Amino acid sequence: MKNSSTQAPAINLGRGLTLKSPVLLASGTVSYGEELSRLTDLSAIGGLVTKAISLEPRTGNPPRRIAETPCGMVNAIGLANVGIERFIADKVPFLRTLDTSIIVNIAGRSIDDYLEVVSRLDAVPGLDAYEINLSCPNVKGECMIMGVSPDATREIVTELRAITSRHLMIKLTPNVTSISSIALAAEAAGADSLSLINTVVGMAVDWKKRRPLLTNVTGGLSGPAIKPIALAKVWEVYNAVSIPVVGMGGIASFDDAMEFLVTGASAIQIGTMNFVQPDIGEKVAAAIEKFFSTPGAPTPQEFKGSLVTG
Amino acid sequence: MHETCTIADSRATITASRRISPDTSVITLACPEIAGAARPGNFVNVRVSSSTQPLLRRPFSIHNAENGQIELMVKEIGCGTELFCRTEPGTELMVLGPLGNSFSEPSGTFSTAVLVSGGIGTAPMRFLEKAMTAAGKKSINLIGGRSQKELLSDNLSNCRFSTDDGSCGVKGTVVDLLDAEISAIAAEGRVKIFGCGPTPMLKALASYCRQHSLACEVSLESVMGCGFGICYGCSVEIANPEGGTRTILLCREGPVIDGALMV
Ligand SMILES: Cc1cc2nc3c(=O)[nH]c(=O)nc-3n(C[C@H](O)[C@H](O)[C@H](O)COP(=O)(O)OP(=O)(O)OC[C@H]3O[C@@H](n4cnc5c(N)ncnc54)[C@H](O)[C@@H]3O)c2cc1C
Ligand SMILES: Cc1cc2nc3c(=O)[nH]c(=O)nc-3n(C[C@H](O)[C@H](O)[C@H](O)COP(=O)(O)O)c2cc1C
Ligand code: FES
Repeated sequence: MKNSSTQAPAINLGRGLTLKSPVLLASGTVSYGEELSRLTDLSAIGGLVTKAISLEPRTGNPPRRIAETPCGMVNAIGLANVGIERFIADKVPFLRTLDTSIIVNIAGRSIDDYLEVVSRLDAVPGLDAYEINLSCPNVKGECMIMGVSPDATREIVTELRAITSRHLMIKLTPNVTSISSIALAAEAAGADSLSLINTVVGMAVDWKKRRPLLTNVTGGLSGPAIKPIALAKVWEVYNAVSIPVVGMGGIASFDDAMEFLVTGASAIQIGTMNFVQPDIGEKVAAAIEKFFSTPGAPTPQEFKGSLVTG
Repeated sequence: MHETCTIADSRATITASRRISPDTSVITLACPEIAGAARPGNFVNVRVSSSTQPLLRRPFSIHNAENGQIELMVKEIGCGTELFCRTEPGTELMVLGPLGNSFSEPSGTFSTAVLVSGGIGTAPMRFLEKAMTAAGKKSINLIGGRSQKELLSDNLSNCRFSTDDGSCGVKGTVVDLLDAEISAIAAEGRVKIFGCGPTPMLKALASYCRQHSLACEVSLESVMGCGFGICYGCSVEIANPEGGTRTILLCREGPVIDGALMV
C-alpha cells in the first residue's frame, strides 16, 4: 500500500489524495519518472506530476526550445508528449511501480479533449489525482484561454467534476490580472486543490543577431527568478480560498520550500531545479521531515499559512 | 551507436587544469564511477557553480577517461565555461554522466577511422582514437579551424590540418582536407568517418560522405537543460530512414547520429 512506509504525518489534500511528504515534483520537469528514478529515491517524496498528457501525441515546438536567463530559464517546449494511448500503455506500468503518489497533468485543445482524457484515465487504476493544466503559455490559442477566464475555468471544472471522482488539482497561471478570481471560480466549481504558479510569460533576446533566442519568440520563465512572484500569488490565493494550495515557482532548497509552506501552501512542487540537481526532491523532503519531527516543532497544519503580517 | 545505462551524479574533485590554447583548457576530474562506465562519444553535465547563477549545468564531451579520472576539453565561450576554466584544482563539482550514446564499436568492418573535427569538436576524438588503437584500427585526425590559433590537437596522433585563412595546413575547410586525403587513405583499406564540430561543418561533412558513399557518424550539439531526458529542451530534427523527418532528444538518442540522417 502507498503512503505507509514512513512515520511522517501524511498531508491530506482531500478526496483521497494523501501525500507522505509535502514535496511533489512538477509537471514537465520529470518526464514520466524513469530517468529520475535511476538517480534518486522517488519513494522519499510525496509524489510526481507527469508531463502534460493530451489526447493526441505531440512533438512540441521546433528548436530552439529553451534558453537560460538570470537565475532561471525560458522554455517553449510546447506540450511535447506521447499522447493518452501510449501514456497508458507505455508509461503507467512503470509509474505504478513507484511507491509515491502519481498525479497526471492534463492539457487539451477543448473541453471535450479534457473530458475524453479524464474518462480514459479514470479506467486506469493506480493514479492518485489529475492536475488540470489550464495555464500553459506555450501553445497558442489553447488552454491559456481557459486559465485566464473565471467563466471558462468554472465551466471546465464543473464538467470535469461531473465525470470523475478522482482528486482534481487545478493549475493556475500567474499571467492574469486577478489570480484569486480564477481560484475562486475553480473552487466553486468543485476543485479539490489548486496548484500555482505555472511559468511566467518571458522572452530572451540576442540583440547582436537581432533575434529572439526561442524560435517561439516568447516562452515560460521558471526557476529561482520567479520565486517572489510565486510567493505573492500563493499568499493571494491562500487568503481567498479554503481548499488546499500547492505552491511552486523557483524552489531550490529546504528554505525556499518552508517559505511557501509558511505563506499558505499545504504542499509544494519542485520544477526546474530537478534539471540541475536530480536528487533535490529527496533532499528537501528529508529536511522538511526532520524539521517537523524535531521536538517542539509546530505541526505542518499549525505551520501552514502562519505568516505574521502587519 | 550505443546507449549508456548506468549514470551517476558524482561529487568530483578537479585534480588538474591546464591551458592548451589562449581560450581552451583541459580539466581533469576524479570520478571513478563515470570514468569506468564512459565510452567514446559520451558526455557529462557539469554544475560549474553551486549557486543559482549560472543555473543550468553545462554539457561537455569526455575527452579521455582513465585511472578513475576523466578529462574535459573546455573552450571559454560564455559565463559558464569561463567560470569552469578558472576553477582551481582541489575544487569539488557535481558531474552527471556518462550521458548520451557513444560512437559505434571500433570492432566494425573498417580498418581506418578518419576522425574529422572542427574547433572544439576535437574534444571527443582523443578518447575515440584510444579505443580505435586498442581495437587494432588505424586512425587519422583531420582537424580544421579558422586559423592556426584555433587548431586543437591535444594528445592526438597522426594529425593533418586545414585552416580557413591558410595559416596552417590546407587552406579551406576540413571537408576540403578530407577530399584531398580520402583517395590515399581509402587505398589502404575500408574507412569510416567520425565527425564532431559546428553544425554547418557536420552538414557539409555528412553530405560529402553521402555523395561519396562513405560510412559516417557525427556528434551533434544542442542547447541542453538537463542532459538526461527530463526537460525535452534538446530536440533535434533528423531524417527518418523511411522518409520524412522525426524529432529526437539529443541527450538520449544522441549526441552521435548516423551521418546519413542529418537534415
Ligand atoms: C553533447 C555536447 C557536448 C559538448 N562538448 C563540449 C566540449 O567537449 N567542450 C566544450 O568546450 N564545449 C562543449 N559543448 C558546448 C558547451 O556545452 C557550451 O559551450 C557551454 O554550455 C556554453 O556555456 P557558457 O555558459 O560558457 O556560455 P553561454 O553562452 O553563457 O551559455 C548560455 C546557455 O547556452 C547554452 N549554450 C551555449 N552555447 C552552446 C553550445 N554550443 N552547445 C550547447 N549549449 C550551448 C549553455 O549551456 C547555456 O545554457 C558541448 C555541448 C553539447 C551539447
Ligand atoms: C521545461 C518545462 C516544461 C514544463 N511543462 C509543463 C507541463 O507540461 N505542464 C504544466 O502544467 N507545467 C509545466 N511546466 C511548469 C512547471 O510545472 C512549474 O509550474 C514551473 O516551472 C514553476 O516551477 P519551477 O520554478 O520550480 O520550475 C514546465 C516547466 C518547465 C521548466
Ligand atoms: S537535455 Fe533535457 S531532455 Fe535532453
